[in-house]
Amino acid sequence: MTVPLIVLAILSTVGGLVGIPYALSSAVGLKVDNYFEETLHPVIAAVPKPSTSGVGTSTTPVEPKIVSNLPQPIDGAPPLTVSRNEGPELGAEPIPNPQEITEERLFTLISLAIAIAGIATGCSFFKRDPCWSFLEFSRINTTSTRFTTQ
Amino acid sequence: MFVGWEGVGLCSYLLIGFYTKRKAAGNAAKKAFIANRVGDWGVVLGIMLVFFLTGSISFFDKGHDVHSALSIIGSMTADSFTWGALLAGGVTSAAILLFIGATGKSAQIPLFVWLPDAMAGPTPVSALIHAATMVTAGVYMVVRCSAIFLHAPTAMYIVAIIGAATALFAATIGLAQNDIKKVLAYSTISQLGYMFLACGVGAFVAAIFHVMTHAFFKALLFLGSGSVIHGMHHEQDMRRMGGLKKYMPITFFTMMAGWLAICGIVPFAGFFSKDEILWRTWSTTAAGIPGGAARFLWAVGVLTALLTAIYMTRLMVMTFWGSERFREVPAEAHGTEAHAHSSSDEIHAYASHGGHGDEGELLHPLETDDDEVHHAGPITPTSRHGR
Repeated sequence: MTVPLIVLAILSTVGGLVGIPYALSSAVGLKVDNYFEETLHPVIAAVPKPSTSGVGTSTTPVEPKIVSNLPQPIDGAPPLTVSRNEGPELGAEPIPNPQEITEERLFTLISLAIAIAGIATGCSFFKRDPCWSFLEFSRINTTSTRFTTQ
Repeated sequence: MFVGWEGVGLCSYLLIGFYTKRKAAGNAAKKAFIANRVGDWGVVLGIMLVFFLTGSISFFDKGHDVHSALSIIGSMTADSFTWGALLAGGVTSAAILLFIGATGKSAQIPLFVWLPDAMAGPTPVSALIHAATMVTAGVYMVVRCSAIFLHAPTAMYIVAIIGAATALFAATIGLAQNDIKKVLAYSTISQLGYMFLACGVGAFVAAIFHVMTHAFFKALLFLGSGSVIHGMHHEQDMRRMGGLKKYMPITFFTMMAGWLAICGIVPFAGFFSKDEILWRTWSTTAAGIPGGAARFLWAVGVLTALLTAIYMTRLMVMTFWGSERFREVPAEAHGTEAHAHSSSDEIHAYASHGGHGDEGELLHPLETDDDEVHHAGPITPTSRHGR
């Protein structure tokens, strides 16, 4: 049991580094592309740009030129060729403009602040009275079952 | 994909019912099976409709003559954002039918009811099937069929709404659970809702990224909870735990990594994927998600993130910190010595080994009826060792 726990703990710690967005990597001077996004590039359709006639409420058909994945050679037959220059843009997002980068960094700070606030709230609420005995559902003398179907 | 889809469903059913002598496990297995069959009805109809529309059910182009269903749908004009498109028998209908299947497999509203009960299975099964692999199959399908969903803005909107609602709903339930595995089960439902929220706003890469990071930290948390349950002699009620940090240091430190990851603390894995989902939700350009709705969905995501950090902190505090509540004696144990023998003796036996080294080797479950141990009655303020 110990080895899987340690391996998963390591992955939980560093596993997210494969998908660092450009806005964050550029903040520390690395400026690397999002490796995870690039890997999924061939199989995920790109979101079409918003229409100017009002997103979501328009009845004007959006025209996302989407194909699935890049064609595969099967049984010796040549694959269909899709030129990146001519065909639709697939997968990876282009490098965002500076304003978007600044905005994304701001939202990253907000996310981090929320996580810290949640932990602080949890600690302050549950450290003194972990069971919250003043609440009905927390009282231990209520039926404590492992499975609801019992 | 459908064969694999049904295969993991069957594995799930059989593994939930692993403890064949427990009626609850059998009932939970049946519940999971039936809920998944309801969802699979949607998948089958969705596949049929895709075949009807495109003449293909392949993900791949095969030479010049046979095109994939995704390529063909990709060349079609996207459906407009109307509620009527849901029943029109077009791409939107196909997307919704596929999504019904995803709600069953990935435990989303309204087919989420089976996952908390699925915790009746062995903990490693919960770690593998019900945290990392099977339940994320729905997210995988939606992402793999992204070309279909992007042509169905109404379906995308519904996916985002259901995902956000499930994320918030499950997080509020998780906050009030006392069973350590149930907290993690509702947490899983909540995180899956996060993934569907990402899909709904067109952030398919972020959704799959969260699938990966969630697999790491949730499998870790489930295995850690299994270690705790094992050490507590099959006690799953966190109100009977507390102060386990000094007895189970490896479990504590590894679970702490999972806790920080799911809370979204930098640089742990969950931080990057959750941050990406929230950012993509705010800045979505997907058709069908109006700007106001995107802001609302982001706010729900933020609230869910806050609740996630709170209930996971609660889990850690109740399990590893604070007073050692397992030393307190259940009320009925005053007259029944058999009950008093449950968890406190076992932890004592554990503590007498020094509580260090390989924790797994130090823990020896007693040969007693699990259910009897678990249903020990109310705790009284009197400490057994204080008498």
